[in-house]
Amino acid sequence: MGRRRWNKKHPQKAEEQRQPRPEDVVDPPARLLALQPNSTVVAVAIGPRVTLVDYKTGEVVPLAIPAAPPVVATHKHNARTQPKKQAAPAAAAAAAAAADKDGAAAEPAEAEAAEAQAQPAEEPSAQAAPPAAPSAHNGNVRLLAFSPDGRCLLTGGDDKTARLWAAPSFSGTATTAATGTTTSSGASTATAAATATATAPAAAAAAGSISSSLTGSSTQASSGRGSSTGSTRSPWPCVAAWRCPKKTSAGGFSHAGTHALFADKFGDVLVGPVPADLDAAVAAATAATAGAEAAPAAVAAAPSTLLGHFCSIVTGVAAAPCGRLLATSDKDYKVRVSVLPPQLHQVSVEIQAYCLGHQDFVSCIAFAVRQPGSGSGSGPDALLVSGSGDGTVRLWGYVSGAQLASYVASQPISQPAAAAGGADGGADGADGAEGEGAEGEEGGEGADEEEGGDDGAGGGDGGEGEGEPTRRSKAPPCAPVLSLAVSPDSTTVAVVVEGEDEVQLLRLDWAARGLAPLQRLQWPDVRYPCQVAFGPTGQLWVAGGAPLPSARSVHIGVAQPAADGSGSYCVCTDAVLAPAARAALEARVPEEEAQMAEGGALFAYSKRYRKPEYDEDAANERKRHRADHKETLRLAALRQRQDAAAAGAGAGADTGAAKQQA
Amino acid sequence: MSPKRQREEGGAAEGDKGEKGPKPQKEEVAHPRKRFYRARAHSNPLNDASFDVPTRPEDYDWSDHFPEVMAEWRERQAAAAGAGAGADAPGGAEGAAAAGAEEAPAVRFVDIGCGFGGLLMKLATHYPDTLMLGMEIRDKVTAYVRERIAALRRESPGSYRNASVLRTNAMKYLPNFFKKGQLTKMFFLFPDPHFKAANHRRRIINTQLLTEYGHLLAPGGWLYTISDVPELGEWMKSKLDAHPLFERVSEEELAADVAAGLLALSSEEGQKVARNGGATYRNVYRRLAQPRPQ
Repeated sequence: MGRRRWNKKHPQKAEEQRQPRPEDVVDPPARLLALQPNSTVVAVAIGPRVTLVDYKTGEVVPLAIPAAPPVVATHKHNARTQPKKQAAPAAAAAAAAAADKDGAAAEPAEAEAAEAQAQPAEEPSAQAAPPAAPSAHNGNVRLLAFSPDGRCLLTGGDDKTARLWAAPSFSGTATTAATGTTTSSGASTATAAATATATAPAAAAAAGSISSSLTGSSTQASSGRGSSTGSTRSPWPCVAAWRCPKKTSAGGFSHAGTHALFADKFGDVLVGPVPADLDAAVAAATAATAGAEAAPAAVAAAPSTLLGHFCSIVTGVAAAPCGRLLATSDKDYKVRVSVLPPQLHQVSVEIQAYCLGHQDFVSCIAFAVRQPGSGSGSGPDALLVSGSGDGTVRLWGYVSGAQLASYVASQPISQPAAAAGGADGGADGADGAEGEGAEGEEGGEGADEEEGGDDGAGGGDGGEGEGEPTRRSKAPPCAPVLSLAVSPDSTTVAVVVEGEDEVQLLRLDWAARGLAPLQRLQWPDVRYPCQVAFGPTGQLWVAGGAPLPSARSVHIGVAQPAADGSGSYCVCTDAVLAPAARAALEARVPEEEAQMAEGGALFAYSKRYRKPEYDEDAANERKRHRADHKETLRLAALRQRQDAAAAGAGAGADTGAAKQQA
Repeated sequence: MSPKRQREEGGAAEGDKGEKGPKPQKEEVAHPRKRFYRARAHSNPLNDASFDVPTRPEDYDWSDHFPEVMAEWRERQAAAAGAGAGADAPGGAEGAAAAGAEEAPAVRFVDIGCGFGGLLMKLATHYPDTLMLGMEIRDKVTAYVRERIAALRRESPGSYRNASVLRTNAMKYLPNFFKKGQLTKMFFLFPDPHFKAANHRRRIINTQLLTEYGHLLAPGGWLYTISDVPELGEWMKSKLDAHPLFERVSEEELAADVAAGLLALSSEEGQKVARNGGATYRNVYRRLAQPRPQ
């Protein structure tokens, strides 16, 4: 009988067998960390919440989140597309606006929302006041990046939008809400200096001068500000928002910071222009006129498509320091270096090279730019570093796509889980086995540096932990590399492996173009780090927390290079991060801490990058009953008989002796 | 028996196949019979199925597909190495040609979505020295083409050894098989139209995939498309016109080209269209060396 008839006849079975729609799958929230390149602001995102804190002064920089517009009456069939459990009413109302089939209705509603901000951040909504403040995004935030000059913050999330928030004034001094007064001299020199250098690591050199000017101006401002209760910083309004066709998964800025690039789960890399005149855009966005016409910058615009990885989640977008190339990585094991068109709103039509070599999804990429004075003069000035689900971190010459070095950050699981530490006692079978294997080995083995030697590490495939379904990547199962970051002086690479509490620090050797282990650093109060970032002054920041699908906690830690110049890092969280700032950034939820002690579902982050596992045996079984199988077997048998006959006849003809073969 | 079945059974009614009974025995037919390999025409290219894909083009061993050609090449390499080790200054033609490390034979023509392999068979005889590969996503149909090539290779030894088929998702995994600029011709015969607007992104000719095809095609390489759906023909023409790396090939050049003449009638889909008296829309484009300004 046909499928529809069968479904009607067996409704419960049909319901069980129904696959979830790809857009209904909610991935676990991500913890993201970004540091402003030339100032002391750190941004942390967990789930839908984004927090910016100036860790030097401990004050929170609010994001001017649009207040919820009055509830728009929606059609009945739009109720299905309402998000099911978002706490913030801004979510419901904005989703109501977004769920409008009529695009024209959505835009003015959103523009209205963006404009209806009279006061900074936390504004009581039109509906019943929620316990949580309205969040920057209606879904989990997946992308958090500062522009190279630090003026803008790009966020993108599961609500299929990407937003650009801009600082009202470059030095971040307190301003009146209506007009953004800028310390023009400070802003212009800082902006000019930042855009002139235009490489994040190189900005470290400039950052020294900028931060001194900033501290100068901020001390002036703080003296003028008086007490620091409440939010003394003016909020960052959202100056641009773009609609993505699918959920945003990664992004960044172009090298000069003129365009925001963001990629979605289908693989399209989209471009949105950063408003050239940011001060005007900020002023327009904060204009507190409720009924005014839509400010063009705040309308959710359609971005232009730059390039696409066909149907692969794009996991990393990085602009090359030469300004001509863009590197993107996806979950189909590929890193692609494309040539950017002269105008970024056009389509990228040329591919420079593919960096192929990873055996599993590529989770993060970053460029390392050689600093003057580090190493001998020969060789390329910039290298691409990528981390992947096969547990390796690889170094590429990105212009040719050649792999230069490979470092195995996590060993493949080679034996079934033995009795391990009590941390993972209660974990579910498969994931717990992987986690235990990884944790058991992290103390024992040191990391080796191999030139692609892990390609042949198929020997580790033997024991796969009990209950682990067959993996379809070519690499043996191992803990994936989740995130990596390159220090501003490009000598150190920090690598996070999922499930381990230690962050591995590698030394990037420019002369030999290789990676060597330097240190394994662990923070006492940060468990399961998932994201690392280097600050402009060389500090290493880490964000972590319980890797649960419904996690809401974030742990933050800081380390800085040891003063003895050996290059190793030491933890200094309390020294750098004032308790008030720490409290604002972190969120520790007691239930999650308890659950973590018993072991949670590890590898929750990387699940969405893995391919679905199919049962090979069942598929082969089905193939045996197919109609073409018998035909293929018949032809194979026929050929064998013909071969035997020919061999027999040929031998008979050659030797003259009849040789009959069966 | 129906005429088609009689044809498939190899004209056994004529009875010149040696000893057999009055009913044609199945043993006699050395070619795969298409009716066992029928599969539905549509297969979702977005499916995340598992394909055996090499990590890099350099890692792939083409001797599974072209055993004779690769074996001959290896013999030539060994002979040249032997000749080079013998330090012969005059070197002879073979030594001189191979002294520069003669490149491994590489696939030059690719038929994406080759179906039952009609075009491949015709091209194999017209271009006997060029390696060509068909890529198909359906398992049964790939098995058919594989069997057919094997049967043809047996029947006419020495020919059809330059054609082979691969089961893979061409929209995702082409860069894994081919290096930059390796291909000289790419064929897209009667691709899936994906009529619904939401599915247009799955069409095999779209701007992002054209960038990939341009990366794999050598400058001056040709991209052949043909379709019987007018809207799809228009779509492909507009996408190719809009892409700065491609330029339309003039009709005179098309008339002179052998492969272009084969587009309409060689594949099974083309024959079906001709039987039904449909019109075909052919678009052939050349890959430029430098992109046009947009």
